[in-house]
Amino acid sequence: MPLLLLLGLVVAAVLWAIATYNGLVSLKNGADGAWRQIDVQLRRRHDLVPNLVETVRGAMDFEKSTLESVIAARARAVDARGPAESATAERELTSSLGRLFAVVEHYPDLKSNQNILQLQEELTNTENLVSFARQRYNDVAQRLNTRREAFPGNLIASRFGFGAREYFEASAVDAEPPRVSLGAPPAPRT
Amino acid sequence: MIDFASAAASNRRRSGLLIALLAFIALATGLALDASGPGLPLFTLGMLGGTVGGTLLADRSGDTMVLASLRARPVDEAIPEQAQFANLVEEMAVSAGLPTPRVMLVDDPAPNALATGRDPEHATIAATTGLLATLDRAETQGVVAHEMAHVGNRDTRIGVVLAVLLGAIALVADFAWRLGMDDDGNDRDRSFGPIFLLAAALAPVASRLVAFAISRQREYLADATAVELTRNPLALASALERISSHPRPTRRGVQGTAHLFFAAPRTTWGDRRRGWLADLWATHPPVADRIARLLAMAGAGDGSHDHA
Repeated sequence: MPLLLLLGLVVAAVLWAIATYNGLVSLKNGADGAWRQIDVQLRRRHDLVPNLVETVRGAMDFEKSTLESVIAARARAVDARGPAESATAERELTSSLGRLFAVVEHYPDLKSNQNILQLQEELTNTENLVSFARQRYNDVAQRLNTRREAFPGNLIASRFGFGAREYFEASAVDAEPPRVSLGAPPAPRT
Repeated sequence: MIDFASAAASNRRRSGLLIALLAFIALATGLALDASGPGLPLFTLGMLGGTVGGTLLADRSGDTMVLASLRARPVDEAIPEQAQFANLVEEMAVSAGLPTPRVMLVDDPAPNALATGRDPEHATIAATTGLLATLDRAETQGVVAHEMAHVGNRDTRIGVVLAVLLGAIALVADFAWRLGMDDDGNDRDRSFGPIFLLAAALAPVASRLVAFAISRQREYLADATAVELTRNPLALASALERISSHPRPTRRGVQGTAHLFFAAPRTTWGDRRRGWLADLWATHPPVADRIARLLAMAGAGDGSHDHA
């Protein structure tokens, strides 16, 4: 009888270990997927910038420096290697785009231009996609980290080498402007 | 922190119970009708076939049926506000970590939206033209997030199954009612008796009460999940405010599909009035309650919804 009890306990422990392991694997894959999604959205933003620059170039001859800083920031963002460098470059691109749109606000012709409005929506969309992709990544990373650190999941996590995930630091997130929304009060900071 | 997996799992359990309960109502009605009816087990078989067939059919092509009944059409990306709507759906899909649903439009000046589809891979989010004309970007984002929450929580699947089951039960009960009554509303034939008529009258009522109760509860959860997606409870609250104060109720929301919408189309009696009896009959919780909960989240949310 005690043998049977022992066997039952072992089976239960093995089943628990399998379930925990599988849970960790699915969170790890989720975090990887969320990370790739950030890259996809950043690349999309890089592709959008040349379009935007072309559209405003003609109407903004005397704002060359603003445009050039956008072009330069994009080039740096495209060339950036590694997460730290990329984060800095993306932050610069975001703020240079913000300056460009602040300038556009001063040109009534441009502001009401259909192409500009469309591009502005596209830009808002891309900025939001990047920021939501990061938010998603941080959520999944947090869930994974909690699961791998909390007892008794940590027994499995440490054995099979599930590493901790880094978050997008608050400083990088804080440096982003609040999500742009046309004609609406700004969304609360995230 | 969004955990669609556990929300979806508890929803599956609840949905199973709900479908079992509805099937029980259907069968009990069939048996009651046959016990005092014309002798053949017509109604029991009808109910059985109707619910099983209906559920299977709803699961396979319920979303197509719902969208067709609303005359939904694809969005035109050349029109700015429709392109923006499509963008918002994509943003919320990224935020939820789900595939981007199909985006459609319903011609109706009243602001409203709905989500349908059997799973996130086959989901559709549709907005009325009135929604895009009435709300600003942040508010529309809140509404889209709410619909995305229904997709992630698998409410859309149970939604279409409900729509078809309610329809099937109502149809059989209606048929029984016609059989039992003559044109003047008198008991046509003594052999049918009062149980027959009682069952025919009660079945649609009971099945709706069950379905509406589940629907109301899913709305609160979807609002909460939407805030996790946008981190902007105020925009969703203001969207609710604007939609509920809009003078034109949604026309397209017919009886069977009312529970699918973002805000209750005022086609069911319970969604038009207040009071406990009306609340029992409503497909959606009272708007004031939904707004109050969102404002509470906005007050408490800033710290707890931080990244990291």
